[in-house]
Amino acid sequence: MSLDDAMQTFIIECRELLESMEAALLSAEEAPASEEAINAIFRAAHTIKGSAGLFGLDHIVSFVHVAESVLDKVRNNEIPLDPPLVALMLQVCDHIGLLVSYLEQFKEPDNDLLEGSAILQAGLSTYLSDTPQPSASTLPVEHDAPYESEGGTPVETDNWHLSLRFNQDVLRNGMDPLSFIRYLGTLGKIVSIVTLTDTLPPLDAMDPETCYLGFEISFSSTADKADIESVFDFVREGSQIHILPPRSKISEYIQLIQSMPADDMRLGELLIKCGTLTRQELEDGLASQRTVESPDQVKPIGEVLIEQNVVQPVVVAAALDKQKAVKDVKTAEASLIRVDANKLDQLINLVGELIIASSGASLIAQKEALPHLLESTSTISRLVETIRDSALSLRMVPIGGTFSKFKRVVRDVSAELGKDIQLEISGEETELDKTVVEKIGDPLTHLVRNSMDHGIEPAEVRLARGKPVVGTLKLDAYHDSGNIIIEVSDDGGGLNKDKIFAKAVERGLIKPDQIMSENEIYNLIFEPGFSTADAVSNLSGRGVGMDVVRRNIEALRGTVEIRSVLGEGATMRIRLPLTLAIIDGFLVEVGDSSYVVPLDMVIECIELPVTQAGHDAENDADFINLRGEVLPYLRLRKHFEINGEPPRRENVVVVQFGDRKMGIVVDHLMGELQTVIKPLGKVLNKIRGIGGFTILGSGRVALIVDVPSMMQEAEHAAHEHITQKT
Amino acid sequence: MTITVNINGAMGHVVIEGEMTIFEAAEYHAALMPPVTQCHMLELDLTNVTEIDTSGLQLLVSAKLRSQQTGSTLSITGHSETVQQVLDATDLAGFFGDQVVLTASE
Repeated sequence: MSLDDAMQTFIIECRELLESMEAALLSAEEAPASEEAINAIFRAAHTIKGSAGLFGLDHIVSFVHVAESVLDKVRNNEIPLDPPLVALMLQVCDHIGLLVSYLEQFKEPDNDLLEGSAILQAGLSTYLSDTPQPSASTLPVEHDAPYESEGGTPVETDNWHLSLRFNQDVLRNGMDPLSFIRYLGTLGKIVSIVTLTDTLPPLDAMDPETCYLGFEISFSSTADKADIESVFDFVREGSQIHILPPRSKISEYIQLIQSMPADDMRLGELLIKCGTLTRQELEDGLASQRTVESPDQVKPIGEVLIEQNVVQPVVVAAALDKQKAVKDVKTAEASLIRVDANKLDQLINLVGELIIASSGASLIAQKEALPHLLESTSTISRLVETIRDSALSLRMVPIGGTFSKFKRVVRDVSAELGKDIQLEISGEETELDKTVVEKIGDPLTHLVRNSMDHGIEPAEVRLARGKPVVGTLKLDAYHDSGNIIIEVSDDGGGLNKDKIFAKAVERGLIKPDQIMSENEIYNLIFEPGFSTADAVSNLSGRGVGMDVVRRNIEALRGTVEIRSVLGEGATMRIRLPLTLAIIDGFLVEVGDSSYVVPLDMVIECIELPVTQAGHDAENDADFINLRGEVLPYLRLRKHFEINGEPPRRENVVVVQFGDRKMGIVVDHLMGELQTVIKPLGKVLNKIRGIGGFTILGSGRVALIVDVPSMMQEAEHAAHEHITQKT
Repeated sequence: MTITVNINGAMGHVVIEGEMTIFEAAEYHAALMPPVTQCHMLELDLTNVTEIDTSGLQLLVSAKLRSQQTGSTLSITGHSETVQQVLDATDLAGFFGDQVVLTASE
């Protein structure tokens, strides 16, 4: 792995860590932060700092270091994680992201960037200086503490336990921690000592005059606490000196465990370091926890150990929690592998070719009518189908990741607008193609911002309308007949269709006497000419850049529609195909040409009633009576201007898209087939009604019918038809 | 203090004599950087170190950590009595993993 590759990995890792840090921060803002969340935030900062150090990225290390120090204080409950701090930390997140993107673009950090670092660092350092002295908060408690138990029995050790983390400036102040340890030797016997090097930066990043080392000491002595404490009198300021007497209260050990660095922390070592537990006792405890099968029946490790009278449970539980958090992260890492997206694309392409080849083979088998060959080709087809599905599922990712990014957007925008808006997310487990997920982010952001900006009313208006003061924005995703639906809904004012209509007339988009359905009027806001600056205030402003939204969505073969109830809110519904590459198709024939209709949209096939068959030319906007329902239909033969006589019996393929139905009249129905969608060349891609093409097993080309655009075409034609008549 | 640095390709030999304390820490840090970053095999001779404090110790630890991460070798070929005492007192002798050679007089 070259340095560049490693750097790339570092950048990706950083982005992921920042994402999880941001998520944890946002959740901390909503509810009081759990210890787990705080640890996650701290770990993210810590890991970024560590990795940056490996690459000698001093500017990142020094910046993250300050943030980490503040987070460490949060972790030790020295300062609360209050909203201002969360806000600051979010800025820190952004800034780290910025630092990383400079790295990605091989740009040297410029002045603006460094200035940004300095400002945030200044903000962070106020937290570092304002905090109460840690020694003051921990030591007095122990001073008068009775050695008897308070919340449990005392631990078994007969030794003092000293946990020393020196003030970083201790060396500069002319004191040497080693000399304190040497002096300690005169008061008793150092039973064991562990030198902690966790905070020691790499050689090139370290400041040789800063003290980085910490010590954990098990100390056997007859001296009293005041004597031992007095050893550290000179260094107490700014240092974390914990002195636990023999047979201390358990709570004090827990406090100590919690103040230990989180990484590389093996529980066994830790407890043995602390002299609290033997390895055997620990292993027994872990083993009995493992035997408990169902997760909801898992007893807290403390209970397990209490039952066995092994050790003071609280101590173990605290340590186990920590270890588990570290372990969880590791297993998550282990069960995922990174694959180059290009490799996946290549795989999908190959699977596509495989599908074509295998349908070619089945075709030959059918022609030759050899039972054995037929049997084996059908087995192959089935397997290929499975391969196709699993290959495609490799590209499927849950949309939750995209959704959770909006927590931040909603938070920031609502602060910017001075509105109180909460985000509700559902359907985050809905999966869709990775390329779609990547491309849907921008349009979604636009819709979300629009809803917040113009949809949800200011608090006063909401109160006046009798709505809850807090506005709600909902993101939802679900599957619907081979499509994925993503909804952005708000409980704001909704769209005013009269105003939109008037505005569109004013802009010259429509004629004043045009008759339009409610839906069509709403859709006007997606027209390019509609978005103008002065539309913002009055017209609830939707339409600012909305044409871009629609274009982006259409590029994904999707559509967007609006539902709105005036005064109650609006819903933007994005409908996207599940995947861009391969679909199940329904093969039909008209004359000599083959067409494929996406199978997901096909509801049923019927024969065109004979009474309808003859009547054609003049009365073009045909419809049939489908079990009492009016079903408009379109003749593919006429639509694509195919010559030749229609057969005596024609068939209707009934398709559905959204809540609309339509019939497509064709000559023959050929059946299902797996279709690899090949995009049309540039010359042809303006043709309406065709979404791509595919190659059949016989080697012939079939066009894929683009049902949505064909429906629009048909409706359009119907309108003109009516206008001509009237 | 004196620090003698010999770099011969990927091999390095560093002799430190005198005090290794906070007062010289910056100088040691600067002097150790090139051999530690450039050499795959680095020998540190601390036979004549008269005094070592936390700053000196953490420099050694950091250099050793770096060598472990990069897969190079850093070995301490000679320990003065002071160095040895400090390594013992901090239980870091095992971390460095060097053979401690005692002089005959002990």
